[in-house]
Amino acid sequence: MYRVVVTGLGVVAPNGANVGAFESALRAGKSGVTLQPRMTELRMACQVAGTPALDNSIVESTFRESTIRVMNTSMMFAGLAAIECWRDAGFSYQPDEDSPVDWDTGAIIGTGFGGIDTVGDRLVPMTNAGEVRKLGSAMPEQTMGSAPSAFVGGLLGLGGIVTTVSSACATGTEAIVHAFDRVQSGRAARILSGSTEGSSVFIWAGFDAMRVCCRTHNDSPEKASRPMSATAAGFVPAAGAGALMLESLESAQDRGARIYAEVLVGAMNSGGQRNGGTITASNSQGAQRCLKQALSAAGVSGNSIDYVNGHLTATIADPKEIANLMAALELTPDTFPLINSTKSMIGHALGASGAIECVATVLQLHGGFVHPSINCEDIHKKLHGIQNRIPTISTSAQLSTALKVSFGFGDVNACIIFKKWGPQ
Amino acid sequence: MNTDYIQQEVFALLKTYAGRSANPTPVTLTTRLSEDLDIDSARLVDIILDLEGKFDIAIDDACVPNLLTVGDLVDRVDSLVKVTKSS
Repeated sequence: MYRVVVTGLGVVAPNGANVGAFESALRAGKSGVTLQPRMTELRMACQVAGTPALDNSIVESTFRESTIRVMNTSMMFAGLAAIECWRDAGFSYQPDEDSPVDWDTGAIIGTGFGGIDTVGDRLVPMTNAGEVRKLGSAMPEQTMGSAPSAFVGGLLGLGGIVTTVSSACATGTEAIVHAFDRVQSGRAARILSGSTEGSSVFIWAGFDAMRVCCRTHNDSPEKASRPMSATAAGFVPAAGAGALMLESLESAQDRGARIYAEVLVGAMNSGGQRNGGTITASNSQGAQRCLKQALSAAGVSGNSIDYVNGHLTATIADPKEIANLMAALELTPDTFPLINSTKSMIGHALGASGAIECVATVLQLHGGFVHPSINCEDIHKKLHGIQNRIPTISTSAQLSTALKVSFGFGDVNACIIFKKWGPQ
Repeated sequence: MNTDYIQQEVFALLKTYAGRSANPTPVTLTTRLSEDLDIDSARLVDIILDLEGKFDIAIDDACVPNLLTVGDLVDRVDSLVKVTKSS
């Protein structure tokens, strides 16, 4: 078994379109949620979302014109995050360079909804209009399930496993767990792992119809995402991508790579949609089993977890999530670790959320801080006991061990335990 | 619309489609689409759609396998434009 470390990070988030900007935004408690005129036009109840603000010059300097032509937002976010991660890990990328195949690196890039913007904007209307001939050649590569990983694999010339996984809102964390498993077992030296979600009303409309998105703060977007708040009124949809280079310690040390953190364990399961679990709700027993399996496999106890990056979407599931954490970690409100919700600033990036939030987790572990969980000054009554464990301003903290949890439709659970690298 | 103009437009369009392995030498009429510009058969479909839109012509799918060089593309567009003008 190989030890697994994180040697690169990349992110395209609503409040920061690269790692540096994202970390600054996290430290400042800066929201990336904005009013979306298109949602207003379409008379959606929720009219705010977290979408990355990307400068065209960044896109044009990162991709060839022939590449830009075939990208949708899901692919573009994945590509930008992956290239930043690749470079951050110490590898070179030039848009015009036909680099050799790297047989030692793979890509596991998840997505919840993939190229649904392309499907909605072009594939369906043009097909229905009898204009199939005019669709062009890029439709399959933009809409196939594996579009994000295929895109990234081609950009970087990756010769290891190149695949896409999908498990709703647990997707990003799941992708990183799969990468961990492959590197730990010695089947890969490196896996560029993460997830992406496009910016599209065709994704958000379905959740709006379910009435699970926030419809109370269209006039104050930055206050709309309210995890753990008494006035939480549903999640704010979001888009973006996150990427982490997972690498064997042996490989990282051989090439002198900078190490952000060690990945101690990743665990995944499902509650089977029984005992309170449904397609949309979590079976608490399943969530707790997932967490306990991770603790057991990592050989750590609940009280050695210093910090939790919660799934915490600003729905009625938030108190249940905290109760499950408390039970699985065998802690009390007094011994509960610091916890926050990155979604309070960026909204819920669905399939991309786990990866973006793993980037946030590693940045906090590496940088010795815990970012504020904004918009929960009016804490939910069931969470009063842990109110002092939820930072509302950026807090310095010498963290050693961090837990990232994600849950998704299908009653699926995923979690990862990261450990700070270097002297504790 | 003369042949020089068509040639100029085709050259400009192909620059935006050239792949990562494209030969960096200047594009000429004898430049090969696949070997020199790294344009595969899928991307050729898009080039044809762009040319059809730009020149208001229809390029028959049957002739696509014979479009191997930049000159082949220019000739095909040129002949279709002339037919359109004369009809």
